[in-house]
Amino acid sequence: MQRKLVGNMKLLIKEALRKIKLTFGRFLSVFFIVALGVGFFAGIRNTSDDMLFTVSSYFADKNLMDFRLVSTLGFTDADVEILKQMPSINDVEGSHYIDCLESSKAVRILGITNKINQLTLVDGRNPKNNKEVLADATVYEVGDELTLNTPELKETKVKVVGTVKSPMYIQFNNKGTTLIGNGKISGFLYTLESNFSTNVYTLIYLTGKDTASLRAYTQEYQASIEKLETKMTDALDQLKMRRYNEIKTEARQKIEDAKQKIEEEKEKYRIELETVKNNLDQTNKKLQKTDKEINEKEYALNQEFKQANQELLLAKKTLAQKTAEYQKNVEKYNQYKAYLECVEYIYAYDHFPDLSKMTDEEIVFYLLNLSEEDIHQFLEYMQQGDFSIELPEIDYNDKEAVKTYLETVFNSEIMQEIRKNIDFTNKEDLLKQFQKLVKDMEIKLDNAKEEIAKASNLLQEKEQFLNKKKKESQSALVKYKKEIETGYKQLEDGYREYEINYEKFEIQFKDAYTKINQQIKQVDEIEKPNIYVFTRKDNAGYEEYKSDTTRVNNISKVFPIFFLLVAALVCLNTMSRMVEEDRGQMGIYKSLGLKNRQILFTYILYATVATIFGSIIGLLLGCTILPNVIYNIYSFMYVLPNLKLENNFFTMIFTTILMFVVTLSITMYTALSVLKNTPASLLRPKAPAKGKKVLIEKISFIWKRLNFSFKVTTRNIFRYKKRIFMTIVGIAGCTALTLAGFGLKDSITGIIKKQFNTITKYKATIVLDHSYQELDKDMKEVLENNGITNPTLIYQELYNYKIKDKNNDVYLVVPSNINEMKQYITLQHRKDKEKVDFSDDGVIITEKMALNLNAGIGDFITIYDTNKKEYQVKVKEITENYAYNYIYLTNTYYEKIFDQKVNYNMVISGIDENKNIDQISESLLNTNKVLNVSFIEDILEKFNDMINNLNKIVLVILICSCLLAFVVLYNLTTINITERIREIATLKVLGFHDKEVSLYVYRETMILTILGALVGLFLGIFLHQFVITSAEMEFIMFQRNINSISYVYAFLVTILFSLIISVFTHYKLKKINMIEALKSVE
Amino acid sequence: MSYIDIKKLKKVYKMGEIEIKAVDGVNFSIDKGELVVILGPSGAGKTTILNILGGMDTATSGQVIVDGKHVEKLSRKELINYRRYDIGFVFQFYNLVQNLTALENVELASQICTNPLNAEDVMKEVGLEERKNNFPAQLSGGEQQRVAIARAIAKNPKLLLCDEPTGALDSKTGKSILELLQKTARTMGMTVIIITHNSVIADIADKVIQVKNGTIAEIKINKKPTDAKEISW
Repeated sequence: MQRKLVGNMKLLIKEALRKIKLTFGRFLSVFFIVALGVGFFAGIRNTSDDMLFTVSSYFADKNLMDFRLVSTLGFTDADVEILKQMPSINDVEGSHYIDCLESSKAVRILGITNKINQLTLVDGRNPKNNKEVLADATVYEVGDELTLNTPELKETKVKVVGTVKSPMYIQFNNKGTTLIGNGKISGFLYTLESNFSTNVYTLIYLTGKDTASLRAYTQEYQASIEKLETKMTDALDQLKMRRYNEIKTEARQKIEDAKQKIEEEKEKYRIELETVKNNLDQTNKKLQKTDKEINEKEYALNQEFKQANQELLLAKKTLAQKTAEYQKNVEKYNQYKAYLECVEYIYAYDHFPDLSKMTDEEIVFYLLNLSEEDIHQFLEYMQQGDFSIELPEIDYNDKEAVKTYLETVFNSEIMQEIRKNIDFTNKEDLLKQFQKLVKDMEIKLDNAKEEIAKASNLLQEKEQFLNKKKKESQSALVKYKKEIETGYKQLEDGYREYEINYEKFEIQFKDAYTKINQQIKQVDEIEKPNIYVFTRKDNAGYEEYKSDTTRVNNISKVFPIFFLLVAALVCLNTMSRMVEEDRGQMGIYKSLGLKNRQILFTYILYATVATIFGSIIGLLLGCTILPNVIYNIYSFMYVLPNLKLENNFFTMIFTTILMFVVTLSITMYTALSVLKNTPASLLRPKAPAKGKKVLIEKISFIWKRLNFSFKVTTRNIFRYKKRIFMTIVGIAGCTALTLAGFGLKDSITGIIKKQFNTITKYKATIVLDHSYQELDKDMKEVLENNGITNPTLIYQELYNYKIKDKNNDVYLVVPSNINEMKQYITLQHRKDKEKVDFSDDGVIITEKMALNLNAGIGDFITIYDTNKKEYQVKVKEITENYAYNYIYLTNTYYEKIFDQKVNYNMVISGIDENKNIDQISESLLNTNKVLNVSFIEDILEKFNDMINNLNKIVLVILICSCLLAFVVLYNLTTINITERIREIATLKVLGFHDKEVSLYVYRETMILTILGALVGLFLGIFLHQFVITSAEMEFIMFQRNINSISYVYAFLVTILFSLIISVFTHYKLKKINMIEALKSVE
Repeated sequence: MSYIDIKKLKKVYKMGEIEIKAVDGVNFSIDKGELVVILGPSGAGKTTILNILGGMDTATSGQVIVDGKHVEKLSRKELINYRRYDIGFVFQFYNLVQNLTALENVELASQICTNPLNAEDVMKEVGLEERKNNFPAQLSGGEQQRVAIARAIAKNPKLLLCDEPTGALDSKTGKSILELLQKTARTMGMTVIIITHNSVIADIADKVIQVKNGTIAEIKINKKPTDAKEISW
């Protein structure tokens, strides 16, 4: 018995293997479709897990921080120590970072840490000194020389010696935002910690003990982080206090020191100034003394001079008197002399009588009676002679005049004086007397003259001497006086300068004291620092990556199932067909006495081999190719290591088993139902499917008019019920998949246009540095001058809402001016495009949020602020929107809900199209009135990237759908042919041409295909809707409608494959050997 | 020159190194309107000859001349046309299209021919007027075979080839079939060739060709062929 069994076993195995060989095409098709279905299903399902696994491994490898702490007052080693004490914290490292400009681009410079956030060196080497840096491999190259515009580094002219990848920056073109430049960080640099000018840490990195073993992005990780954060609160408070006190103490100490210094200086200055003053005073005193002395001297001298002068004057006076006297005497003498000369003349003149004997009157008379000639002669004589008498101008012919004159002469004083001294009575001696008198006089005069001359000389000498002395002393005085004047002037200047300096001194120290006081005040005002805790979610690109993998995951939930279903269906069909065909064979075995299970063995083996091997190959290929293909699509946008396959065995094994079980069960079911028959009936050829009248035939009106081929086709269509079902379902499935694929593409691309052309029309969003109640003229000007047009003020704040306990973002927006805002944001119903209005007793929410919360108009929804405080708001309207979620409300309703006035903090606006957005951003940030500027352009770019990736994935899916369609059609057609091989052979015998034979078969297939495609289009709409709602992220609403052209595409694709298959079928039919096919069962 | 001339016909199957000589140098000729029976045991090669004659198989060597046409030289396409217009075939197991009524089965064949006979008339001829709208599944074996014959005749072929037409039928039904075939040969002047291993049937033929091991054993001419009515087995 054993031997028999074993023998049978061998036989059956041989049978199975031969069967595989004989129907290799069929085996392959089963194999292939299993591979496709399983591979695709498991592959796509694994993809998002693989993507997450790769990244979380990367993060674990490089010890990516769990927390990044930033304090408004910085950190010191003391803070690091406190954190190190926490038992749930693993590594703690203090580090630095600064943002600065490098040739007008904003870069972030970070310190190279030891354990946390390890870098991957792409090229070059590590820096050895402060002049060498590591740089972002996506931006820089080894050898680049950079100048960093910041005072916070010791070395600002640096060279890139190595390029790196950092686990903090995983997204290619998103390196975070900053307050400088155009607000976007263009790249990062790593430098040695020693290169930072300050020792105070700008940040602290932390890793947790528990989180080390948890995978990034998982719920467990998030929960662990939240727990850890709560645990840290105490430590952080401690840090805050410590630092606060430290800073305050330091500051106060500094102020004290400064104060002391000031005091010292002040004293120094004061002493200096005093010295100066003293000197000045002394000089003053000296000057005064000297002045006084000089004055006294001057006075004395003056007195002396005065006296001398007086004496001189006196002398002069005396001299003058004497001189005058002398002159008088000289005059007298001259007169005397003149008279003498007259007398001498007279005496000499012989004409004249002897006057000594005449009396005066006689003389006069005589003179008077002188003849004219005598007078003339006398006068001539007088004139010619050297006489001292001046003759008057009288008319000497006028005797009266002469007389008068002579009388005058006679009666003159001199005459009288002469008469006194001369005795005129003695006329004989008169001349001699006179001569003597005159001589005496002359002698006296000469003496007097001499004396006077002497005296005059002496006087002159004296005077000269005096003058000289005077002059000397004058000039000396002047000199001294001038000196004193200068001295005084200098003193004056000196005093003035002193005054000024003193004033300065006073002011200076007054200011210094004011400053000190201010500083004291400031120190008093120092607030406790804020410590901000950032997690990985705040890293640029971290959440984006998660979103992308979630998208893939969502797609993987739906599409592959379909694949699997279709694959299973085809598999079933093939296997059941095979079993049916083997009736005869099974009959033989049964008649030989083999048990059912032994007969089944072949089929079990066949199915097993096909599905197991198919699954294995499918898994091998699918789980490596698909994740890699999809990952590569994303690797363009991210800076990540190569894909790490996690090989989720659960999915793989599950899928394989599922496929296996399904296939095997149907095989067995079919086989068993066949085996139910008696061997005899099995051995008989199976009665071919009976012909039956078709429904349409009953409408003889139509039936009569149909041509023969059509009648045949119609009948044939309805002949194999299972085939109709299978074909339509299979084709429909493929068309549906294709349509859903195209439709997905439409829905995704459509939203960009819709959102950013019709709904969100503003070009820029500006966060202001403080809140406004309205835009004043100044601010408007500032905005306009920096490239902003038509700004309108709004309030926008981030809130949360919950979907199944998970927090999701929503932006609360309150416009300051509803009409202005309406220019920029279109609020309308999606379906009927009716405009939506604001109201004061409710909010307008975006459609996706409404869907997420299952909220309708009139419902209340709950939103949470950043402090987790709850608010209930009433939904008044639902507006069309595709990207992100918003709640719009009036300020009235805002006040009602939040119990405070609205503080408008943002501006939405257009931009000057002639300006470059980097320019606008930079210049706005430079005004320091703006915290952040973001442009729709950038957001558009981000979305476009995301959509491009999604499109690529859709393409992958479409290709697979097409492959599936291909395989299904091939399978169905082949089966159909095998079923009707006798019929087809008969046609050939009858002389049907190859084309006619093919058409005969294919007409039915074509009609069924078209029907199936139409059904598929219909189904595809639902599939599309289903996929859309699954693949969407919670903040995106894909367009729900499919473009008309997509229907055409999907239809055409199906038809195209059908045609390709038909060509293939044609050749297959051609090859059918009539004789073999018609060989009767003998 | 006879209507049909077979000269040195050979059909050899090569399977690797093994050669199977199904037909090994066969010569015979058939005249127009003759009813010929090819007789022989199973595996003798008669079906092979019929298949070659009917254009369903090709000869390895030799000549097959039908009405002046060298069938062995025909291309694939020409062979199809040959089968289409010149040949009518009747199988042992009828091979009717299940999805078509009796009449439609006949029409299937007639509508591809250039000079067919009216399907309805032919149905009448074979005595199946009443059953023309029934499906093969609703017909008895004999009726099905008649439909098959009708189908073959409707083509108005030069040759009517029948491979064991009565093989699946009881003797009574079989006889009626043979009657029909004989009638066709006689009244329509069609050249009918019947293959059988039943020597009794050979009596109705004008010529009996005995085939053994791929060669002609004997060619007998019946000067007075029996009426099909009168034979029995």
